[in-house]
Amino acid sequence: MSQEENFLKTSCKMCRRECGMIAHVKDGRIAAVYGDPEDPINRGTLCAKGAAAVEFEYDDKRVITPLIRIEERGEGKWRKATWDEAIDYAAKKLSEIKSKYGAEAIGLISGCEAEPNSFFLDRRFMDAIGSPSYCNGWGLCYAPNMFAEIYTFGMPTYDWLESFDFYKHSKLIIIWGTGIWEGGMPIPDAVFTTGAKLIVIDPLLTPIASRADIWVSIKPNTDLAMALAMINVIVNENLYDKDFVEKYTVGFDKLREHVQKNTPEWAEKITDVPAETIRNVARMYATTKPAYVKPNACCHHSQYFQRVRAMWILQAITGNVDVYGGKLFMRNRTPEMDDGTLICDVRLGLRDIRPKTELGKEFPAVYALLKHLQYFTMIDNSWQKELREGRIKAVIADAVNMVIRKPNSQRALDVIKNLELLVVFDVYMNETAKYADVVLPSTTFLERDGFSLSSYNKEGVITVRQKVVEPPGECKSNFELFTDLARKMGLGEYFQWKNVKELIDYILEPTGVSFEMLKKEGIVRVGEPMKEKLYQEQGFPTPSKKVELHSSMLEFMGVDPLPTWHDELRPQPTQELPLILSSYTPLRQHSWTPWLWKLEEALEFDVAYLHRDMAEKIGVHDGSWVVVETKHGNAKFKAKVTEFIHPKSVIVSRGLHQQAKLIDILDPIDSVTGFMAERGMACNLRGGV
Amino acid sequence: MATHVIAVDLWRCLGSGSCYVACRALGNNPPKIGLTKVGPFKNSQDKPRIAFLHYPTGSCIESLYCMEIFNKKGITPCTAACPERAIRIVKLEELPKLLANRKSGEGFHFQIFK
Repeated sequence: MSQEENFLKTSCKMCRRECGMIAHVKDGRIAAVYGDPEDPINRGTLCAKGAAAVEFEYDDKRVITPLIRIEERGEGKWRKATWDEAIDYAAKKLSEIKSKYGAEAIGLISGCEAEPNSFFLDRRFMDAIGSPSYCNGWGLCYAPNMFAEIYTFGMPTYDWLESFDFYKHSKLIIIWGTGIWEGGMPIPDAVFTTGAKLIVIDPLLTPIASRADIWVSIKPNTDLAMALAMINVIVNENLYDKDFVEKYTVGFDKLREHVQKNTPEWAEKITDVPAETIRNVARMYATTKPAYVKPNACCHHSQYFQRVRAMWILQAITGNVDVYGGKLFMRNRTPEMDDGTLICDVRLGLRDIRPKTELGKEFPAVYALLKHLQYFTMIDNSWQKELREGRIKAVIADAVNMVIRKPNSQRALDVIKNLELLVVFDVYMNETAKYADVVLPSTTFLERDGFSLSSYNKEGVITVRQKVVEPPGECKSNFELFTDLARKMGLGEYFQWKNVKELIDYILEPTGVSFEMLKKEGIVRVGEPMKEKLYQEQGFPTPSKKVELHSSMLEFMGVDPLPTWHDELRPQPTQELPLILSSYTPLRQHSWTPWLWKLEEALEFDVAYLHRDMAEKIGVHDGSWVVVETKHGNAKFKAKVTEFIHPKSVIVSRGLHQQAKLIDILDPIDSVTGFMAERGMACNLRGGV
Repeated sequence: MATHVIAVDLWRCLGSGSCYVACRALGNNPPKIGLTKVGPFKNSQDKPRIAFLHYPTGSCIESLYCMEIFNKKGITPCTAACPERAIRIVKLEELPKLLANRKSGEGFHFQIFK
């Protein structure tokens, strides 16, 4: 019997890195998925998430029919409906809420899974409705890094999208708390291949830390103190790049004076890292070039913004800026074409009629940028407050499981129960969907056409995403969701594309690429990869045209112009809660991966790492259950007992069901950006469960 | 046909579970990946160091699909899934080359492929 078989190029969407993928399709069914060897980021590899795409596709727990609630919220009584019927229902309710309370009572929250190229269609829908109540996962992810980059260098780098070809130039890499221990990034591959030096600063000895030249076991939430002490050593021992500092930075003298008090001995008391280790790390970092600091996931700290600023300053004073193997900016095209997300917003966003919000003014450093940036209309902090205080009456959750993604889960549930309308568009009947009024079934990324710009910024290529199999039941993409909803709400003028191919062609028009081209070629090159040292001709796009070590903009806004350690901003352990809670990021993405049991089987979700002495004290063994308590609640984890962890810390897997019970998106927060600061909270452990 | 060996580079392997999930997606039963502590041994700064290595704790049974795709493309779902490029399928006679210049703790896990 002859079989029809194809190897179809597409791009993964199990996370925001969107690696090139090849689907092996046999008789209309995906047999296996492979990394695309031609893709510059993953070069023929995947990760556990990518490999789980097959399970994701054929999971029998998927919702494939639209559902409308018939009994009380949360009782789980539904009636099956057609797509049109469900859209009609949602559109009618949304229109009623809009006329009763105003457009801002309609909230939308989207996950990175949305298409095309994440959430820009969602935002267009909100622009068209006239509601500023739009936010997404950026605030919990890379946005605080980016704001610190903008105030320091004038532009963002998107450095989670670097490729192997970038890292292979680095002679030293510092992985600062970044959860890459289970792969998914080219750093380990590059380090193992080139033999570059590796320093890992992490409370826990992760597998990648065990391969490092130096592993620094730091007390969680004290990284700013360590970074300041490193600056102190580099400045006082004259290890900085004098030429770069003199020509291309401002505020060095102020910085020198400012960090004098931040000696390694001072930092030792705060971080529990020996002063000598801090000196060693600082010397090794400053004398090995090019070097790269990877602080990505080290977010969610109470002084996060300033901490990242300190790391960018470390990069700047050692001259590791705008060089291969250091921190590299994308600007070898025209400004409006540099950034893939900007192209999407310029093409899709209704910038002229986009509603403005007064909310978030208490965080001036972020508020000032909101108007100009393409990511969200309202910061998480304001969105959550609006939601909790009942001013948002209707929520559309596009590929977001609000209960576990936007914790605290109990408070999130209380809020959801009081909404007048909750529309959930998702692949799974997740914890949030159980409380919805309307559940709309979403396609997976393997069932829809789109494109990926994740290699565009850095490498100048656009990658195809195409329908490799037919969707089951009535699953549709969010192109259909928002087009149909908008048309039913009388906003059809903003959504005139006949099909998603027309939409893709419209977005990509400035790049000269069409969907047919993408489908034929798989990967289309539209520009050259990034070039280094462009600052020599162009300077930096800051007010001073230089790297702002001392930021006059921040000073004007009343924010510390130089990173400063404020001990009072750190949650202090108490007698009841004597330990420090932190978290690592297991390989998971948003709402759907916690539902993938094969991934869970391989990686063990919901675990807590704790020190052996602590385990003995509370009578817990490796593999037994342990309860972690914080001021927001308690949750049960499987204990992982190790001697290679900061003795006062407890590290749990983040973004999953259990951790969401322990933390709260509004308390504590980063004082500058208002984003969640879940790491570093006081906690306690209880055994004998 | 030459005998092939699946070689898992235990220094590169960080225990991401990618091979496990890729194998599971085919409906196979892959060997469990066990976390094992080795060391202490010296690193480049002569400090004692402990490593966590992820030994596959058994042997895999290659499915017909693995054989087919290996013959066609020279890869299998598990080798192509690994982000650290820790898994390779090599000819038996290439093993000495693979093992040359290895330091203590930087071992391999081997299994005859076919």
